[in-house]
Amino acid sequence: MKKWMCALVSVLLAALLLSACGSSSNNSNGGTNTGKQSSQPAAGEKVKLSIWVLNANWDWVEKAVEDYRAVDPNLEVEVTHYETDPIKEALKVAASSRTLPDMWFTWGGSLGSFYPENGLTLDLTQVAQDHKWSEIYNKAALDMATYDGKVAGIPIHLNVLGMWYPKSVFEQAKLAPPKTFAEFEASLETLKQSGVVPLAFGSKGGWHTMRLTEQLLEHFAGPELHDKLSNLEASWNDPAVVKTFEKLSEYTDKGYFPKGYSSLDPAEADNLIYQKQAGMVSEGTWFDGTISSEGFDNTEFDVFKFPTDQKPERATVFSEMFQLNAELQGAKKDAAIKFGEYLTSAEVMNKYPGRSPAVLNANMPPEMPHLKTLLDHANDGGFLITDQALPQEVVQKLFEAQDKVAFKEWTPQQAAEEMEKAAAAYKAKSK
Amino acid sequence: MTLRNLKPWLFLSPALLVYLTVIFVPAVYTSYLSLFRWNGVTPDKQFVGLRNFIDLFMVDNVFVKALKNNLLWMVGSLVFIMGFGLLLAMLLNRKMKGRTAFRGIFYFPYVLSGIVVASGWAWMYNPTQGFINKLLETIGLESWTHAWLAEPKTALYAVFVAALWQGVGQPMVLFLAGLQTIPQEPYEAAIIDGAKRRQTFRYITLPLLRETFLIVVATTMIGSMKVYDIIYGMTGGGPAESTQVLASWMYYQTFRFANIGTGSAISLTLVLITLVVIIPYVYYTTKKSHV
Amino acid sequence: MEEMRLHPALNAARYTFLILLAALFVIPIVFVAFTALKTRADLASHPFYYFPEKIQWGNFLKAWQQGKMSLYMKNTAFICLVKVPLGILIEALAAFALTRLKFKWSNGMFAFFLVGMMVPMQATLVPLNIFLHKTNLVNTYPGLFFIYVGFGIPFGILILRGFFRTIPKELDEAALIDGCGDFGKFFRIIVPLALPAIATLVIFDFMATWNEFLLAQIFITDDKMKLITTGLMSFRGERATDYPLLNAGVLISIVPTLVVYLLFQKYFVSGLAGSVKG
Repeated sequence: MKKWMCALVSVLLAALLLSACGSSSNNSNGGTNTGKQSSQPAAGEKVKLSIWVLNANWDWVEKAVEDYRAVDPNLEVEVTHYETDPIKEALKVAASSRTLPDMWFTWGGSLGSFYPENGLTLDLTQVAQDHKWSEIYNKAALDMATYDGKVAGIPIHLNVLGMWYPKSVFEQAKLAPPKTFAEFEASLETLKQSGVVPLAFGSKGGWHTMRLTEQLLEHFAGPELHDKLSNLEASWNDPAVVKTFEKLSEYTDKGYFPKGYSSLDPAEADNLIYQKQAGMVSEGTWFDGTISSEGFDNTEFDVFKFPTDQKPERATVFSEMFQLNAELQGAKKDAAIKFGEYLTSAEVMNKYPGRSPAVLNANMPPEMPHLKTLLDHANDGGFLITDQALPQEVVQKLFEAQDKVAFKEWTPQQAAEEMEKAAAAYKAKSK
Repeated sequence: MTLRNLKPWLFLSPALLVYLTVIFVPAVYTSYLSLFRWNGVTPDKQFVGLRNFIDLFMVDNVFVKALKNNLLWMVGSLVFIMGFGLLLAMLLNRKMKGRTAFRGIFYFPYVLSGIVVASGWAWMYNPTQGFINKLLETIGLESWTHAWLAEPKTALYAVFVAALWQGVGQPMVLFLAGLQTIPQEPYEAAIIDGAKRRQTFRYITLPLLRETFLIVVATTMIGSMKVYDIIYGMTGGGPAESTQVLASWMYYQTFRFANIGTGSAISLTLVLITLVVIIPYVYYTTKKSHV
Repeated sequence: MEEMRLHPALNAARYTFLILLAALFVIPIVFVAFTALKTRADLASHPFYYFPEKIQWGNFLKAWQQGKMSLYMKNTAFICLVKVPLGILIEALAAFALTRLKFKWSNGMFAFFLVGMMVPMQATLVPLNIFLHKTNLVNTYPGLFFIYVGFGIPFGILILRGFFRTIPKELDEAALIDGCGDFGKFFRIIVPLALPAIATLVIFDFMATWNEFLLAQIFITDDKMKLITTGLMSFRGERATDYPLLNAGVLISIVPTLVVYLLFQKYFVSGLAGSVKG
């Protein structure tokens, strides 16, 4: 009896120990393991790639992977979808434990910079030269995928933002798209009078309302100062910043935002636009696709450029890319680059429209009636969207400031001071 | 060592091994990391001593807010979640029709995940369409309607109500279990002595539930220090960081800003505060045991 | 206890209170059910607390297939079916040592395990992720079992130790006379007598594992291995934000925990009774 039990317990222990040390064959995330990389797959052998992408509007990836079997039947791709904020966190977790997938989606700017800055991404500079990426991809998109002179990602989307509105709502209020900032403010009041919510922003997560904040800042600060603020080269304790926060506070008081907008999910705020219960929202080149994927008709909506009254009148822009794992080697590396180029190619963009391609020779698909308008908006220039332009900690402070100003917990002046404090703290730390 | 001395350790070893690997060693390593400035990736960590802690308490207004929220949450849990749990247990601790059904209904929310509760209650609180505001309008209390989750003054309490709904079943079953262990005799004696209902509760029930209280109090305190899912799901710490708690702020510092040192310092603070609260409890239970 | 008769009015008041409170408790779930049974158009055009225009039972099937609920449920069930028994066995062995085998540090060890209850999971994520990577256990079931079992240990030991101590020592001696060793004592005396506590722990453990979110979010990046909570978070029907399907998914996800609760609830209170009588 006793012996038998002893044996059982030792088996149990052994199993635990084994499970802690062995089973490397189960590891599907092999791309991150240098040890295993050395056994490179020979020609004709199966290659397995892991890739992380977003959730909403990214169904096409699976279809494109399916299509790609015709090109390379040996490539097996494992796609994982994430929501907007979770993908940022999951990537950071994976970076700290060196378990990044072989390829991942990321935004540009400060959201994407972490990985190349820490040597986690494949340096694609040589590949970009050899494959003549400068002739394939939009220059701005490629620039935004370049850090410290090194190409760190394959650009997939180049996005421009504008103010979207339901045509019927503007017609009912007898409004035309505003051409000046004064007209913009007048239209807010008119919309309010006509019984809709003028500004459909939802501050949960902060970034949605930020798209209005940054336009206001561009209006008050002008391009030069705005850029300096973004680079933390000028003090945030500036009259232009104070005025920006004053406007947020004023619009809140006047009831221009949806009820409870400070905890409203951006998706629900957008929903007010689809339902034609709100006047306008700052969304981007992807919005044609989003509207139709939510089951609405995107021709019932239109878009105008936010009138900043500045020369040049710049629109918000940002890029999105695939970054590749620095530990990729040999045949797997080549397969990953080839696959990344395929996913961002005009062929895939044309077949699965609904997004704004970074690749140059893609069609203007009829499914996206506002794509060209928006891209044209950026002809006079663009500024990088704030949550990619500022360090993430300063971004978080901006989100806090937006809310606190709306609730009168901070005066606009205090908000500007707090922003400057956060910027200074970040600079002191990163020295 | 003789076999006899080894035997306890043989029985303990599987649990000990897993516990050390999964909880203890990682927690110690995290404490070590709290003394550094590190982004989690670079090979060199910069030793900064207690700087991270000093910054948290002196500079980071969100951390201070989060700490306050945790303590508020703890008091709220002890008063309301535990109080309601005890009340329900007292009401349900006698043979009555539908007892199992009631017990099931009050316990039911506890089987749901925090994420599910968060999504359901976010709907309840929806400022324009939500049940709560609609109910207030229907009964003529329109002026009472609020954007519950959107106002810093109400957001934390609104989340807490959802947590109350979810959590009340836990102390309820623990108290029911405790009440079952109380023998009949003291009550009978008390009745003979002419004791009132309130007096039997005060002088018999409460003292005999002392050990149950210890467990409930301890788990409630620990639970309130660690609260995370429901906040992450309902407000994500907003609006204006008014619902941040230590666990969520630590998560942000670590996995959004890549401030591993700061995040680890928050973890350690969290553990230390919990320890201060809980050590008397551990001391008490272990001192009393005769095993 | 209290066999004192309640005044009829008092009794009625108690029932009214309980029924009202029960109604309040049920409301949120009723809305989840309403939403799950609507079309998206119905949901968009009416307030969400309206009864569905036309009941859409098909939503459940859609959530099951399109929403990949079948996959998430299968994965989570597999984790639970291995993790819960394995964890309880390990915890029971430890609790047995702490209560039945004399050794100097038994109280110290118990306290040491309890400390684990205070460590927030977030505090272990980075080191654990490094550990999984070094041992090649990222995205593997053994790795997940290991971590899930680990986080269950403090609470499991707390409950089982409490209950084991209420089992009279005389029974142990009887076992000794019968010629049982410690393992025999454990399996023949303690475990059968502790069944109520074990049943209680099964409920707690199953629920904790089934509902766990943070670890699942961080440690499972393989879509084929995704668990129910993270699956619900990234729930996708044909449309990105298909609330009816999501709510149908939520309802489906509750079923297993309910079944486990109903199966074991008869032991529930009695099992806890021993454990809380520290």
